[in-house]
Parts: sequence; structure tokens; C-alpha cells
Amino acid sequence: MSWFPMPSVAEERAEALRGLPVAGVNATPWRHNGVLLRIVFSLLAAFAVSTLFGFFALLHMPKGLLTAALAVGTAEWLIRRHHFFGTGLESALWLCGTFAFIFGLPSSGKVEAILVFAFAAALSGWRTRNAFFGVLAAVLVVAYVAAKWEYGWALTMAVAAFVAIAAALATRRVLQRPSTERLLVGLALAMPVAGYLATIGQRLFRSRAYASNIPLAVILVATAFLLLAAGIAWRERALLVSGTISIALAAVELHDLFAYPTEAKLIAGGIVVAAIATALARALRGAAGGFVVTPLPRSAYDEAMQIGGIIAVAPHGSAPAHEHTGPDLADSAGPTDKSFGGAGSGGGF
Amino acid sequence: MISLEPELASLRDDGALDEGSAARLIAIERRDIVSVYPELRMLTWAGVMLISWGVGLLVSKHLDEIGPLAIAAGLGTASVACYAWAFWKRNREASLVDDYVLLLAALLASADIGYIEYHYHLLGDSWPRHFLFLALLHGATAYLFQSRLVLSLSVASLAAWLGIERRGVDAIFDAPVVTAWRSFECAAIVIVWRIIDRAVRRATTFSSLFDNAAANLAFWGALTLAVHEETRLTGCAIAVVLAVVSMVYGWRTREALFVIYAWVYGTIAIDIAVCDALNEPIVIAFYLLVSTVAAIVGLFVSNARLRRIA
Repeated sequence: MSWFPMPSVAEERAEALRGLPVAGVNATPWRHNGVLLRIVFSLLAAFAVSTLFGFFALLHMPKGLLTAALAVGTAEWLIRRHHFFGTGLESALWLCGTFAFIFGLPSSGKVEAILVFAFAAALSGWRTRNAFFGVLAAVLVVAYVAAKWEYGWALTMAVAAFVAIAAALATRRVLQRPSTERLLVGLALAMPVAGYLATIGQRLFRSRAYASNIPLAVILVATAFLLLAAGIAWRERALLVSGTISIALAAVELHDLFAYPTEAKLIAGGIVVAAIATALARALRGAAGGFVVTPLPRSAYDEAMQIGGIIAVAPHGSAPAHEHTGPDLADSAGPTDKSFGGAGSGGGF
Repeated sequence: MISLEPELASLRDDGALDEGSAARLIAIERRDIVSVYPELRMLTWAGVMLISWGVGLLVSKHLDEIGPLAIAAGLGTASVACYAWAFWKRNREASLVDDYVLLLAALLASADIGYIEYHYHLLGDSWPRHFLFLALLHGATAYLFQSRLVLSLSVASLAAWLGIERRGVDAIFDAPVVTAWRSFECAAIVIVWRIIDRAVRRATTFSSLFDNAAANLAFWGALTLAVHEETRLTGCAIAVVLAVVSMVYGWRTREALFVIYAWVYGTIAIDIAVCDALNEPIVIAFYLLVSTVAAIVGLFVSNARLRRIA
């Protein structure tokens, strides 16, 4: 018996097969949840571990060690005894338990502490085969590079780009475990964004503003080119998405080079993006092989995300600039509030 | 890359999978067929969001330079053009951008009507009624085009008309009773709307959007009362009752989301009430630990049972 029981390759593949419209695939003994439940259980477990940490702190007991022992012990008990794997609970207990242990250690204030958190995330990710934790570990390594070499913007972006490209290349290998593929795809998707955000953090920390940086944009464009080329050659959708995101980030980085107002750039960008999507859809219409535009069922998460985006982007409604004595708006913005619209309308100014 | 081709071939050979389905799934595994439909749809959506954001900024920053008539006419023309295109496409071959051109039309109409009301004061003191007009316009559009995206704008306009859309944290703390009642009113209207919609159109696809909007509005109304000291117990009691209703509804409809709402919102409400009664930080920490573990176990058991009977 393995020291660290987890779903075998065959069991992971069987679970992946059950995700396809295929009948007659037996369930594995491992319990797992869908995305939403995993998120809810992770949040609840994180809250429980935080409370436990606070409880031990109030009792003046070794909070980090005890919290880690209880959290990781419970996670292992759930995995070994009840076959939890992919429920969100055992993985969150592992991650929060190891993080609690680190938080319980005396702080030295060194940036190397970020690497300790990265190691904890990687360890938790390996134990629970959680791709998100693996990506988190890589993001923390990029954050460490950004914190350690605070003027090395190009270095930070280059490290992130290197990880993304390496992960993209690794997806070409024939993998056995779906969880390994999820990790590689996650790295390819997240690293350009993480690297770019880290460089923004570096620049804002230094000067509270940031101007366009050509080397950064060049790295992003080169990364995008490689990812898109790999995505097209290997027909890997995630690499296409990652390449597109990298191009968008490069466009954001070059904002100073185009001396147009922000609103003009937004409208032009929106028109270009929509036009590209429309042109690609038209070009692929009728295709029977390779890249196609066969409509796929819209998932509930997909639609919820879009609706959330619509409500978030839509400027809010509040009292208009003119005097009013209408409905009870005592708790709303004042009558001089310079805004209009709502539910998709207007803006504040 | 991962390929489940050996397993699919084995299922085909065992007769568990017919030839046609197996061939299609194996082609997908081999990447012979890769649909980029979801990615192109998201790209179109992102384009529409950028345009909408840019238009909002354009109007607000260049109000004086462009002139009110030009802004109102420009937005109106663009919106009508998008509506016209969507209407023209209605009975033709569906394309990827149809939903999003309609969404852009609705967003531009909102911007235009909001701007006209802001500048020309057509409704005077009754200015919030333009939100009601928008709710009706977007509602009618949603029914005409069967668009849940536009329906979400309609519900958001309704919430804005009642004065609860995107209220700041200040409103929750300064006027909890007013804000909460408006949330309850909005939830009630959405429920009535849902019932009528279901009765009139048996094959409706809008019910889940109504259900989720009503549940969240009602729970947020209750929690708004719960965070205020004078109305705390009332708010907590209402939230617990709503949690019970949500649980029953989740069980009856086999919707796991409502079971999650019940456990999460219900636990928050009970925690607020109990923590308010406790004084010692150690006792509060211990209670929160116990209640969170109880919520995790409860949610896990409920979900497992729901899965078994579903």
C-alpha cells in the first residue's frame, strides 16, 4: 500500500471518462465534487482553519504547529478513511494547514519567506494532485523574483514567460494523468498574467505609476507568438487562450505609445476583438475537421460569469445631477452626484 | 496532452458505445476536431464589454465637447442599429455574435436613456422611473429574443428602480431597514414575475435566473438587517426562515445551489446572532470553529443525499 494513497492513473482516467457523454463507466471509490461545491468547501475549510489558528493563539498555545497538525491530520483522515479526493475540503485543509504552520513561525521579514509558502503550496498540490495549488506555487515563485529583484521587471516577466512556454511544450507529451495536464494547462494560462501583474506591482511600488516598457511588451509578444503557434500546431485551445491573453497584456503595456484617449482605445479595442471573433467564426463556418465552430452547450458557470461581467461593467444608477424630491433616496448619493444611468447605462463623472 | 482513446476504443469494442459516438469522441481525443466556439463566444463578449465601457467613458468625459444632442442621437442611432441587426438576424441562420449584438444594443439603450434623463430631466422628480422603463424595455427584448443575458439587465434595472442596485456599504449600515425592505420587495416582484412566466410559457428557460436573483436579493436583505444592532435578531430570524425555504426548494427541484445557499447564508445568520450574544473572544472563536465544521458536515451530507436521489 502506498504511503500517500490517491487515485491511481486508471482511476483518474476513469473519472475523466465519466465527464464525457459515455455510459457504462464504473465509478471509482473516490469522492469528488463539481467546481462550485469545491470552491464552497475550500472557503469553509479555510475559514475553519483560520478560526482554529485564532483559537490557539488566544489560548497562547503553539498555534502554527497545532493548527497544521489538526488540519493536515484531518485531511489525511478524510483521504485515507473516506476516500475524499477532489472535494475541495481535503485540499484546502492541506494548503491552509501548511500555511498556518508557516504563519506560526517567527517572522524574519525576509523575502525568502515567499519561497516557503511556494513550497507549501507545491507540497499540498502534489499531495492532493490539485492543479490550482501547483499554479499558486509557481505564481509565488514569480512573486519572489519580483520582490527580490525589484528593478528586474524584464527578469520577472521572462521567468513567468519561461514557465508558461515550458508548460506549453510539456503538454505535447502524452500524459497519463488528467491532473498533470490540468497543472500544465493552468501554468500556461496563468503565468503570463501573473508575471505581468508582478511587474505592475514592482513598478507601482517604486514610483506609484508606470509607463510603457518596450522590453516587457516584446517578451509578451514573443510569448504570445510561441503559445499561439503551439496552440495552432497542436490544436490546443488553452494555448490559444493563453496566447490571446498575452497579446492583450502586450497591448495594455503599450498604452503610452498610442496617444489616444482611454475611451477611444477601449472602443477601438472592443471593435477589433469582436471583429476578429466574427471573422474567425465566418472563416471556420462549415469546417468539418481541425478547428471548427460547432456550438457547445453553454455551461451554467459560463453564463453566470457573463452575467456577472455585464452587471460589473454596467455603471451604476444613482441620483442625477438635477434637484429631485422624488422617491425616498435618503441613503443614496446626493443630488449633486454627477452620474447617470444604471443597469448598463451611463457613468459617473 | 492526454488521450482517452484507448478507453473509448475499449468501450466501443465491448458494445457500451456505438460506432458513431465512439468515432466522434475519438476524433476529439485525437484533436482531429477541436471546437473553438466557447473561446470565440467569450472573445465577442469581451469585445462588447470593452465597447460598452468605452462608450460610458466617452459620454462622461466629453459631455461638454460633443454636446448633448449629438451624444443622445449617436448612442440612440447605434443602439437602434444593433437592435435592427438583431431583429433582422432573428429568423436567419444563427451566428456567434447574435447574442452579443443584442446585448450591445441593450447596453447602448441603457446608456442613451440614462443620459437623456440626466441631461433633459424628462421625468423631473420621478427620475428613477427611467430605470423602470429600462426594466420593461429589456424585459420585452429578453422575451422577444429569448435572451437570458438581456433579462439579467432587466432584473438589474428593476433593482436600480427600487434603489438597491450596487448600493455602497454605507447604505447597508446607514439605512438597513429601507435597504432590506427594498431587497425583499425586489425579490417578491422577481418571484411573481417568475410564476407568471412559468404559467404562461411552459418551456421557459428564464426560471433559474429568476430563482437565483430572488434568492440572493432576499438573503442580502435579511443579512443587511442582521448586521445592524437594532434589527439583528429580526434579520437573523428572516435569514434562517429563508434558508429553510431555500433548502426545501433545493430538495424539491434537485438544485444543489439552493442547498448551498441555505447552509452558507443560514450559518452566517446564526453565527451573527450567537456571536452577538457571546462576549469572550475564546468562546466566540471556539463557537465559530464548531459552527463552521457543522456547516461543512451538513452541506456534505445534504449534497450526498441530493446526489443519490437525483
